[in-house]
Amino acid sequence: MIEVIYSQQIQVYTNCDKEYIAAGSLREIFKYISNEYGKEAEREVKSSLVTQNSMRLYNKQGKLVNGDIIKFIPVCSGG
Amino acid sequence: MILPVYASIDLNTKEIKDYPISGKLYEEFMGGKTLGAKILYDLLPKNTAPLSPEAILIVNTSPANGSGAPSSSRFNMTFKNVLTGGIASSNCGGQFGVMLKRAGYDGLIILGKSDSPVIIEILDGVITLKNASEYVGMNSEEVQEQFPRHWGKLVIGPAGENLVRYACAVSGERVAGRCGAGAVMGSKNIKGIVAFGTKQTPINDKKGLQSYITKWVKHLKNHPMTGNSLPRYGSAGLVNSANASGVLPTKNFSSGRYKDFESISGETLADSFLTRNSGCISCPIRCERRVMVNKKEVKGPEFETVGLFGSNIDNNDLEWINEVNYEADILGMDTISLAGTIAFAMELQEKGMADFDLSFNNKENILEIITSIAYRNGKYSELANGSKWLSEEYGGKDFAIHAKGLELAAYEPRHSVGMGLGYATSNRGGCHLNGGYLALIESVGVLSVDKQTPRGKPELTILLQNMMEGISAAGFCLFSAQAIIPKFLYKLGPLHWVTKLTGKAAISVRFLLRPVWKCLPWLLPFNSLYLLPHAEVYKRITGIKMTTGKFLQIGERGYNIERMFNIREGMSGDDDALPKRLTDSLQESNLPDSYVPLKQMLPRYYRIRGWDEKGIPSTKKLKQLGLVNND
Repeated sequence: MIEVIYSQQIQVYTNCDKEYIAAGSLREIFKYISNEYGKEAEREVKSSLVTQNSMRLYNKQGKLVNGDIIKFIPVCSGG
Repeated sequence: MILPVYASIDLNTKEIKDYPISGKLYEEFMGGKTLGAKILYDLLPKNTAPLSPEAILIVNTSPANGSGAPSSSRFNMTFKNVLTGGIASSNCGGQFGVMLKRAGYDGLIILGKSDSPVIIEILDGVITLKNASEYVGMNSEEVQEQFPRHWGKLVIGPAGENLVRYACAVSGERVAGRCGAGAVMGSKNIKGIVAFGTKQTPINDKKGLQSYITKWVKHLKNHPMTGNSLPRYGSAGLVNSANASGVLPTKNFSSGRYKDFESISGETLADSFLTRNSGCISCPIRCERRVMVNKKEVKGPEFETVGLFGSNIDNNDLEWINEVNYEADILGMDTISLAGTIAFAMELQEKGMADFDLSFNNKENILEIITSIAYRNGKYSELANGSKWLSEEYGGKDFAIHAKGLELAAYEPRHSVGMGLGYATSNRGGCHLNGGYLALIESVGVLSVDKQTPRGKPELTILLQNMMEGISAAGFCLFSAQAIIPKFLYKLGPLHWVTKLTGKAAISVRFLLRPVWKCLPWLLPFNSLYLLPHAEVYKRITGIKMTTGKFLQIGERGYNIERMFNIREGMSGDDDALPKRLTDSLQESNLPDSYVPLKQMLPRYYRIRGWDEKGIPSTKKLKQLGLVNND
């Protein structure tokens, strides 16, 4: 199972801050979110930065393994 | 053309007179930091000590201040940098700049040293030097409370009075933080400058400006960054992404990832401490965090403070960071240099090279120590000199995290190598903003320009350095430039192929950028709401013809006059350096490119800038920018 953590803005759609999903890739997680929470929720997660075990992910093709933590975080800025 | 009004104030003789700014100077340098650099270059004798009576302090505004344009309340302080000995400009929001203009002045050039503490009072066009003896010893909050709430105020706290080299100047709860502006005021016996007036900022095309402002505000409010993320999370929202990308400075920049990053993140700040957000005059972004400290609502910490007083000293207590941020502000110290110096002292202690009773993961005595730094008590007086001075005294130059003497901001550059180049070449020292802020497109933002490759980084660094120079000179907050990245990329997200392709393209077009600099004003003879609306606003305010190309060229001119100041003060390409920890050691031993390949990037950076191999601007470049005569 993959632990999926949602940021504040996504929780509006998911009504939870995290959940466990059976998925082998990020694509499958996107699909799950789309089916479960709708297209708006999918758009919101796709516009987020994604981390796998606290490291930024740069592509959605990579394989996920049991116990991985996927977190969607808002794109922010500073200066 | 309506020319800016500058006053020269001689604190030795108490003489106050107008300082004329010619139309040519105004057109070529706009205002703020670029005009300030030109004036300082012309007036300050070579090798003047930064804290000597002969030093000069320029406090100035810019054309956009007070115009009602978005994010246009920034004012500037220019002086000889107390930490680097080169140029310094320190920029601040709040209401002082607008009030100075309403009081009838666009800029003040302050010379000499008062024989007793003074407040410079500017009320409706009249400048008076007032005795400030009764305010001596007050912190920045207490002294501001002595004046009417609606006045603009710029003051120092005890740190400025005691010449802490990184003392800041405080305006409301905003600070002109970097380079020691507060120490320069303290060295001149200036406790504060206060201003109030009712004069309106002259606008050349009022109706046209108003309609353009309406469109720009709408654009900023609809943009995912300026309309959503910055108001919602502030800059502290960066902690998560900085950690994920390996750029969150940890334990004096020995790493870029922190085990407890979630405890100090922007989300934690928003969930646990945020009371509301706020903003500067005429700013629709409203990025300021308001938090409670000791049952009082105060300004919350920015990302820099969170990173440097959090992960960089191995501290995961965000409530304490709120408190130390407030204490540093009222004592009047730049949190970046203060925290950077403390982290360095912690590592010196860990290695047995010095003893300041400081250690990582132990914040218990830090509040007490920063008070001692502000008052230069005992051995802590040494910490008031910054990390470069400490490394010369105690050793540890390889891990004293500064560039030219100014401590680095909270982006660990070994996973953002363009940011590393920016830090090294920044005219004021280790500053992310003056350095071009490539971290935003390399590591923490929506774009993912390859963060390890040196390819394309000199070109992008120069582009962004010049652009930000221009935006600052015109009087705008740099956050207003965040909307330049098209909003559809935020909607598609960082993993979409279009966003990734955009990141790749940013590096791939590097070969085009060099010829672009040679013919900028002709190549971009237009303005666009989606590119640099600042140029169009400047045009409508002043009536001076301005295009995006010309605006960028003014930025380039400003960067070069600042560089020339540094060269005249004895700096060279050798000073475009970073500590060896960042250039010669890997951040992650299994990642062979996790270092800053500075030596690879610098020669190309110099070539594109039109500087020689020692980093000195060529006569051809200076002529092109009108910085030397063409005959």
